[in-house]
Amino acid sequence: MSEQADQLRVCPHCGQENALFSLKCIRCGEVLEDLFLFDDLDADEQDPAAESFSEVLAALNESSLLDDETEAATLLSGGELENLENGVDDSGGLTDRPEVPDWLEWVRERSREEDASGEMAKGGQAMDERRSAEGSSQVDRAFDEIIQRIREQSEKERKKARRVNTDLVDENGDPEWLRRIRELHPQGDQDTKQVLTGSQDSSFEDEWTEEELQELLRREIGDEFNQPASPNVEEEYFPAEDDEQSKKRSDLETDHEVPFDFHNIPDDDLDEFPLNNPNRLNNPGPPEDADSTPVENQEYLEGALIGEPDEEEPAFEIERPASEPAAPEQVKGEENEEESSQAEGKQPGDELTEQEDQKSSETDETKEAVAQQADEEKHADEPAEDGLKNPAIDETIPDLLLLRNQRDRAQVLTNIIGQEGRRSIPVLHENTRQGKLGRLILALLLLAGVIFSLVIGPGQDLDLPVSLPAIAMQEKSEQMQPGEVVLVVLDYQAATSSEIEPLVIPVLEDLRQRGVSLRYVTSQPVDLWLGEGLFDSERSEPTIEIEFIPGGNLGYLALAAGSSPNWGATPIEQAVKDGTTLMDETNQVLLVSDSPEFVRNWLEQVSPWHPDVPTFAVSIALSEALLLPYFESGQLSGFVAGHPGGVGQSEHASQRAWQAGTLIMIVVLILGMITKIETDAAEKGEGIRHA
Amino acid sequence: MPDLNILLTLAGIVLSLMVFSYLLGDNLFFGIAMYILVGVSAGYAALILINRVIIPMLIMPLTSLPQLPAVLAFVPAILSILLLWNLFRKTSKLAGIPLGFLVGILAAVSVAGISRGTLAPQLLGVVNAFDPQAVVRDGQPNWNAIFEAFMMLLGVIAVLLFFHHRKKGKNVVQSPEPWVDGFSGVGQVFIGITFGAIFAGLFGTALTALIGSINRIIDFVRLWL
Repeated sequence: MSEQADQLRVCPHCGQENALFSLKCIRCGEVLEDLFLFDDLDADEQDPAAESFSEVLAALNESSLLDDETEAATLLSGGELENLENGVDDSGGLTDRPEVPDWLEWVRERSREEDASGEMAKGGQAMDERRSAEGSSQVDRAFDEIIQRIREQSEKERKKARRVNTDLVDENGDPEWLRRIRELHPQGDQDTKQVLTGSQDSSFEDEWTEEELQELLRREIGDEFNQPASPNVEEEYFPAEDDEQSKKRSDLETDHEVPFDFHNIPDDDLDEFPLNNPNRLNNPGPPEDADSTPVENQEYLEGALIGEPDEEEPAFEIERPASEPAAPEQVKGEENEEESSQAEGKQPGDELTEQEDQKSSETDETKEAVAQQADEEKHADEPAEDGLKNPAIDETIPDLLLLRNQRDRAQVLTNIIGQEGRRSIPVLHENTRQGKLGRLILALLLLAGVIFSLVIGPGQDLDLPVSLPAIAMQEKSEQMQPGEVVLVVLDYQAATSSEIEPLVIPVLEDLRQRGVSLRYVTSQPVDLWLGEGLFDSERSEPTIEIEFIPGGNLGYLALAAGSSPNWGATPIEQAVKDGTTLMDETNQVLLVSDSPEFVRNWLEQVSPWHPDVPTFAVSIALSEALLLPYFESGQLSGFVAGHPGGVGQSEHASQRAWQAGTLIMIVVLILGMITKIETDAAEKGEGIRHA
Repeated sequence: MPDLNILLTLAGIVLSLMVFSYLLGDNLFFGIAMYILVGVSAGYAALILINRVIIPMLIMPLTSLPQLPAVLAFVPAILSILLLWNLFRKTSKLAGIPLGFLVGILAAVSVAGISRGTLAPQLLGVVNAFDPQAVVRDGQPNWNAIFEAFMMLLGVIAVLLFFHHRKKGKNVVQSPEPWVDGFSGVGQVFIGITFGAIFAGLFGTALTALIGSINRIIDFVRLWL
């Protein structure tokens, strides 16, 4: 019963008890706390980050976890700490459990439910041990990332708010504060550009932020302020300094040159995160009487800005790693910074005073922020002064990491839901209707031309030139003597048989008439019946057996390079009649293939084992360009490739159809090139116009 | 028998028209034709391999135990079984043994073959193009041979430079000298010419197959007309 009561959620509006995972009250419809409220994911696009995080951080600040009492808990061992978290001490009794915020308790409960085996808890313990061992650098880095994210979100909120509230814009669209800045500097335009490009990246939005304004102000003031009106200005304001005081002041100035952790956290961020961030321990803190002397605080802040002599030095986010404990020198520097801020507050500059008066709303916000920061650090500086981190933060960091983990999970879930129904694999080419239509027209045009050429009747005799490799092959064939053996290797498919067979049949017929013995082998099963078409005609001799060699190129290689063992014949030798002596008894090799790859493999794998056996090839037109280098190098003694260069000419009608098809394709290619050039020129002109 | 030829010719025409229907898009008829082609080819190849390879080379030697050929026949038999085992247990690593054996042999053979059958002879062919006996004919320079040799050398160097300076992802290898980029552009021209020739050959092959199919259909129609 109690468990059920624990799982109910009370509506803050009407008090109705609802289920744990209810999003709305069942009675009044009030929106209950969302499951992903802490994850900064809102369904109605309203970013709840600022409010929720401010509440979270305020709860963290008020939580007793951050008190010094919890320091003892961190010193306990992992098991003791676990018992302590469970509210049970070693003796089995209940201990006074520290007050934990509801959201934190809820998150922890969720983590326990999701990870019943306790792996996460073990991981947390291991993480704590590792942190203690490694100086807690990794977790602090993660903590800084979370804080940085909070800052960025708050900055975006502020930008939006400012964009809405800013209505003091002149006819050029320049806000009032920009006009004031321009009045400060006559040639402000060029300088403004420098500031913009120097301090912002490419994703800079067309609006000045607080930091940019301060950067510009620093430049404006720094140019004049860093140049003393007279060489004796320093003596004027530090008239009776002894050497020790002078050295101290120079140290202070050095500290101000590079503030350790001057960040661009806006004022509302300071409201949201009042914790004693370890990074902030190194911030140049304002004087303790900041509330009573706001002008000095303002000067203090500007002193941190103005004190940088080098303009190229990054003005923002000069942070020291969070894991580093504050060095004694730095702590001393912090103390001195307070003094220096007071000292710099005495620095006059009537110009500075005037310019400060001109800065209206932004600087006021900054003053409030500094004052609040001073209050916060006043409460939290005691443990920090020793250079030690607050153990409450150490205990809180795993919870923040847990929050981040949940946020990442929710983001992944959101992405998955967003991808629902979308194409997971991008398509390289979208088939548009226009593309299909163009392809159809081109194909029909080609078909019409070919059919018309075939239908109109026989054509005239064509005297096509014979290629040089074909002439070489014809010459070699004429030199063959009766009784010599030609090994015919078949390797082509049915789709290309209409191109290869008209080429190879006349060659084989010529060889037969010379009394040359032909021997057919293949490693393609389909060629066992395709090859029958080569000697199936009326001119051919009685059917010759085509021997099948398994293994493809490896089978040919085994027969060409292998030798018969003493104990008998290998299975590959049993596939052919003469075994490994197949190539030894061959005088010439004729490759009948529609693949240039097969010819190349033969020349690479088999031919080197028998360099004295010339190799010829009959192939398709596709192979001509690829086989030509092998003919030039002498590896291929001759070849016939494709329809036009063939030794045996096919019918004249087919030749005319071939020419008609080629002509149509050439015209289409030329038109396509012209269209492409026009398109490119138009796109280029469009680009120039845009530029 | 003539009736059978007519029937086969008619089946061929119908199948050809089904393949041509791909011009209208991927449709049922094109799919049927493709399935028939693949199925018939695979079935025929399987029968051939069973009759000419598996039975005579793998099973028959096992019957002659304990002779040595039978013992040796166990090696391919075991490798084949390991390969087949992958059909039933996809996650089994035993199939990696015969596959590794095959891939290793193919890689070794390819590397040796390419270096010995292509690289060395092709480079030697470029060098031989500058053979004094080739570039000088009857005591006079053979300008054609000289021009051809220099073009060959230029093409080799330019194409190699092009492949060296081409884009690798987003990184472009910057050449120290501008003339290297110029040579790289020349290499691109050579590559373009090569691809153009290959495309022309591919188109010629496809056109020849198209003409053959249409010619058969026209002859068949004429026969009946």
